[in-house]
Amino acid sequence: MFQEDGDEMRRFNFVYIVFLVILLTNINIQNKISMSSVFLPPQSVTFKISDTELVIYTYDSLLADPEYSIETNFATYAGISATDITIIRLGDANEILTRLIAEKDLPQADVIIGIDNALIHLIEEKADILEQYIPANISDIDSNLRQNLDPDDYLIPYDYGIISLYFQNQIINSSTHPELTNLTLKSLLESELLSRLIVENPLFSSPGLGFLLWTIAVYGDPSLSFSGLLNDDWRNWWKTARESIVITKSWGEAFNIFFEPSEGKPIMVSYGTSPAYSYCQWGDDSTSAVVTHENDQMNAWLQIEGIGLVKNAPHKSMGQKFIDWFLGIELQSVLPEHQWMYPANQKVNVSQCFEESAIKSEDVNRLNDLISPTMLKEHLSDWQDQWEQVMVKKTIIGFELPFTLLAIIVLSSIGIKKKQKRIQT
Amino acid sequence: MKDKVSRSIILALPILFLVFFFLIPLLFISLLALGLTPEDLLGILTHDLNLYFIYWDLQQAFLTVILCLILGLPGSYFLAHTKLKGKSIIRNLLTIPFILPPIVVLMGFIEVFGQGGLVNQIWYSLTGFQLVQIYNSYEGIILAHVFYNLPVIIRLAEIGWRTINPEMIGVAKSLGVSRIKILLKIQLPHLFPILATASLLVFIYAFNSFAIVLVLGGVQYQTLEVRIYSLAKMRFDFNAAAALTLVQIMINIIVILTYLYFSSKYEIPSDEVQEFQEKSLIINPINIRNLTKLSIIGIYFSIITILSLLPIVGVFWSALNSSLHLISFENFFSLFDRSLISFIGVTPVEMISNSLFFGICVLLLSTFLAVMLNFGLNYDKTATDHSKFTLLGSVSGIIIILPLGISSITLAFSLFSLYRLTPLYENIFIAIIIAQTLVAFPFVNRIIAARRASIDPSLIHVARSLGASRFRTFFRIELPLLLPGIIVAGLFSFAISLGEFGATNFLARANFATIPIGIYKLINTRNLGEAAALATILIIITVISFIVLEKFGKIEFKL
Amino acid sequence: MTYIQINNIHFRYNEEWILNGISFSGSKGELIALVGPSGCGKTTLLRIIVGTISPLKGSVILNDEDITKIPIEHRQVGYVPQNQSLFPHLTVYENIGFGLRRSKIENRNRILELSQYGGIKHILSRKPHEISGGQQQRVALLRALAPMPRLLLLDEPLSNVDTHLREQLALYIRSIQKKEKLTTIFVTHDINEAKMLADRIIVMEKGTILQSGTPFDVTNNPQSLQVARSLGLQNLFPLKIKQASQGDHRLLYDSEIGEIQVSSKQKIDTFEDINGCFIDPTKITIDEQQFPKDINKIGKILAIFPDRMTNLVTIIVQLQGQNDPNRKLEDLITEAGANSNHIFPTKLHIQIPMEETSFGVGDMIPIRIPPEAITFFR
Repeated sequence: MFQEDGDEMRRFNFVYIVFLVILLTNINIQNKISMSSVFLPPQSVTFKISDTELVIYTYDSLLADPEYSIETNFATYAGISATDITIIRLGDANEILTRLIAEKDLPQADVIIGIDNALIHLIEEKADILEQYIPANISDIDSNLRQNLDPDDYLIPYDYGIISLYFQNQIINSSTHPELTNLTLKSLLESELLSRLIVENPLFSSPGLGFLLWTIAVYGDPSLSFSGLLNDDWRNWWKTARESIVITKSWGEAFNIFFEPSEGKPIMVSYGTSPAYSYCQWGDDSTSAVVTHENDQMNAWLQIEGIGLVKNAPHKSMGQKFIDWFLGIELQSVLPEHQWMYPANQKVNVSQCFEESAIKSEDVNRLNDLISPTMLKEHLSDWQDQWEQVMVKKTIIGFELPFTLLAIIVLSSIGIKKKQKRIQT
Repeated sequence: MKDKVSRSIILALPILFLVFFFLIPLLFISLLALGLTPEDLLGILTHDLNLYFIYWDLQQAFLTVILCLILGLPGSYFLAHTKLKGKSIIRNLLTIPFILPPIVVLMGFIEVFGQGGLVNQIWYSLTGFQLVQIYNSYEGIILAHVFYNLPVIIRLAEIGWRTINPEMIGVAKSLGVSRIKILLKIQLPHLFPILATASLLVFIYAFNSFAIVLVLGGVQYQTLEVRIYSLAKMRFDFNAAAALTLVQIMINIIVILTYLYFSSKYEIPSDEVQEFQEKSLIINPINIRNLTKLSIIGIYFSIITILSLLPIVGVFWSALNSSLHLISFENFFSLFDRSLISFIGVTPVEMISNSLFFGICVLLLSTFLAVMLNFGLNYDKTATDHSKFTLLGSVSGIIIILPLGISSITLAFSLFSLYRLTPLYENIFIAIIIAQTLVAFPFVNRIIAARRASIDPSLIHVARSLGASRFRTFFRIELPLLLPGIIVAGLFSFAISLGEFGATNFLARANFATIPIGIYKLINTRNLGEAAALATILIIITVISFIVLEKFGKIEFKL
Repeated sequence: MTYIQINNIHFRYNEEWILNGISFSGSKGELIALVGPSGCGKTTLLRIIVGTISPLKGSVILNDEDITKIPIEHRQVGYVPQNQSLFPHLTVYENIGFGLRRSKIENRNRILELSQYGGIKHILSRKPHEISGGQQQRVALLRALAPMPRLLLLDEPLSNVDTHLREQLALYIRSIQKKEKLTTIFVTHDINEAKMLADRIIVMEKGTILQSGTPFDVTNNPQSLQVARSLGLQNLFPLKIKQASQGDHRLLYDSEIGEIQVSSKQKIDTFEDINGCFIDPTKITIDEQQFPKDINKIGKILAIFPDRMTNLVTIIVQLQGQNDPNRKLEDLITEAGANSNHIFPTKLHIQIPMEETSFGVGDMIPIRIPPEAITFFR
């Protein structure tokens, strides 16, 4: 009892060693963590699979503004209760993909909505996580879009739009900024507009990714001997731009900053159809969209978003029904004024306000044609990585370094002096 | 041997808690990182960006320390050596930035220095230009860090100045030594260990900074904390995150051990002694005749105080300000508005009740565990020397203090990766409560342990000699005497839980929020008014806790 | 009849033996004082008896029951630590009643009875910080007594009390203890306290018992230099043997006051293990006369002060010279004064009856130390 501290220590050390041994034996079994096993949600999830009729993964802004109740409307169509439909809204499309991959051995979702024609190339093997499903009304879907999104039909397009620069024309327009007419990526660099531009992070956001691909397609990538339109290096554009532009994590964030006057950022990367948002709802034409004009043509990147059936979906038939419905005329005709994108269903006509405010994809040169799917598949994630590397300035020697060095010198000399004193005394 | 059994049972709960939810997850992460193939590991660590961010993180922390020292030392000198009427008020005001949760500090900063903030608005109306750009700026981050950490230097250094034996200075003066020489040869060397610990503390806080860098750093500037978060939560690259976590843990451990080393080199004397020393040190009572001195000191303190208070004022201003009226509670009312759900993910009411729920749970759990731990560790304690309270001596001591040095993201990430498959993680509340308890634990433990050390051990011996069993003694004697400490610790943990952002955000899923998460999301979506309203609530709660704590027992920055 | 027995207690802390084989026993109702300098282990011994620490070796037997392994709460040993350790958050009433386990009424009676006896009935509802030091001491004592322990342990009970209250408190303790026939062990560094109160004194130093006996025994027959020191005696000098001549049974010792010669009719070897001596200050005379058996010195007076209680005058001298019958005293004195070779720095205390003083500080006086003044220690 009296040699307490020693006992205590020995006791605890023993306990820790025991646990360490247990842990080590466990670690050997779970040595490598692949994305799938780590992110696998626990066995009994927040919703019980058996309690729902349908599970959908999508991103947060799907048909969200104004809000359209997918659950209620599909429930009517399918004859089930709206509460039996679970829609999980994830941060953005990237997250959907990752989650799908993580769950591939035990799929939780039936349908996924939101993988676009860029992200699809991040999937290693589509057959691992998706199942081909061709709905009955497939002929209504523009075959061009189908071809550009997924010729194998694991994903079917449900909407599309071009990436554009969306701006507030009361604040900036061709009078204040003449470069807006016939804007090129290059003239954008030299313009005052650059410092007022919001760009989404291509690692997290699909319009952001689209914009990145836009710049790659226009400037080219010498490391891959890809000349693009201008036979330059896309990294140069970003290197110049990085000081001035604002990067946000999501489109939603950018959107809020865009509309906040005190922020002073009246131009952002968005869709060609974005002006319709204000115009169709309130007749407000204060916003416009523009793309760039390299080589005397309007150039833009087309984004096509897809819906797909999950492989081994728990409620397969209901999932298929949903896809039918989602691509059908009923949903597709309300889609434009809730999603502010063009519907994939050719039979649907968009309202006049769209015509008057949005940029039609037919009018632009599709940069997608410059970058082949194989190229995307091979290099997309590298490009994302390299983008990040370009954006971080990595100044080792800045104003801070001499300062730091000086401090280190001062401190170490004090330290050495103390050491000497200690040796002396 | 009944004693030994009961003691083991009592100790078991807190120790097992720490082992299972802190130690093992940490080991797990480390082994995970080490379990990667060497090529993978090397690839991650030598990845250009990762290396750069490690370097940048260290550098910015270091710069923060230097700046804090430069700005804080004069202030601490003045506070220690001059007689000023409102000194304790100034001292408390200066401390406020430190006790605020970082997310609030961030909020304040944005309000003052952000695009639409006070400074820029004023400057804009004067010159038509923006003066300061804090987003994606190194200066902004450093500024925020300095603001947040300056109080640490000022308060600890002040204690340092004061604890020099005044007789020594008196003797030196009687020998005709100049003031500067006294400063350099006597005061500064004495101050060294205290300054070292203060600097290390600032370094840790700046190095592990999360909320501030997350928002102000953008893509360009990321601390390891932010990088790990982004890799794990948003890119799902768990291997890279684990590898970087390992690096971060190692750096943190080195800093903490150095901190403990220096911290054992000095002792903060009791308050009575401090007061006495303070009186002896006052060399120059301020009198009107000494105008230049007065004005210099006055200017310095006004600047520092203004800088300290400005962000808080900014938050209040923004909260009470709305587009329509100058002063209105509109932002507060909109907190009850359902529409915010689209930004936050839950209704504001739900968000606030989540926070309160966590606060209370963490309060109960952490104080309970800390009381158990201290009771168990001192179960049979004989009357040993209690004046020195060093934890370095025992392994258990280090384990207890380690959560302080391990950042909140690391805590959350390790908990997450170990328990993701278990029912534990299924209920998000449990995981968050555990994480927040771990964050609060070192502080709570320290407070209760210090309180316990001040209890005369013979009280326990006498009680037992009178026939009371160890448990009866605990409940009738120790617990009542421990109570003030428990209350203080409880308040502390409540405040910490309320303001905790990093771990909570990491563990949270979609459609879930606490107040700090709500503030963060509102900042991102530029709903600054509502964010400020929320931040105001946090400020009020934190400041109240702080005042109560000061009344009950001094907050020691030493751990 | 032995009531408490301490058997061969050993205790070690950090490589140091705090208690090295302590054994003694006491009978029922006896008041035993443990005396010794601070650090000698008496408080540790007390703690072992209470039960807060366990001995490395040895046992404690109380009323034929080995209590060494029994936890504190079952030993029925009353304990008053040095700083009383009253429970600060409980009233005096609650403090005293803390160890009582009977019904409320019985407890109340006991508390009232004790506080009546202790004269603290009027402060029962106060808290410890609201009463005086002497009152605190009494409360602590009553608290320990309330549950009728078999043994009472007191650690320096009088050290925190003002001088004029000390005797009062001491007698109070004695009376209670006698009244309740409570075997008591109390620890003190003050030999006079021990002498005043104890039935038996145990002198300890550095973890061992030097001597055990009644106050009379110990005072008049200190068995060793250390005991004598702990008794507070003056004129204690360690001795080192210098020369032993078998022939005339004479031994010469070296000491701090010079050479001391001993002649003995007994066999010489019985004198070889002498290590110290005590010179009774009252038996030293200031005398010109020389007797061969005596030690004759010359000393310089450093201080003179009278004591009313004993009617003696104490003179402290510094020995500086040797008295020689063949020479004149005045010359010797002058020589002693001038010659600094024979100064022995250790002081000698002399006590003479009040009337005979005619000297002053600085005077040189002849000193005679007769053999009966010297007590030898082994």
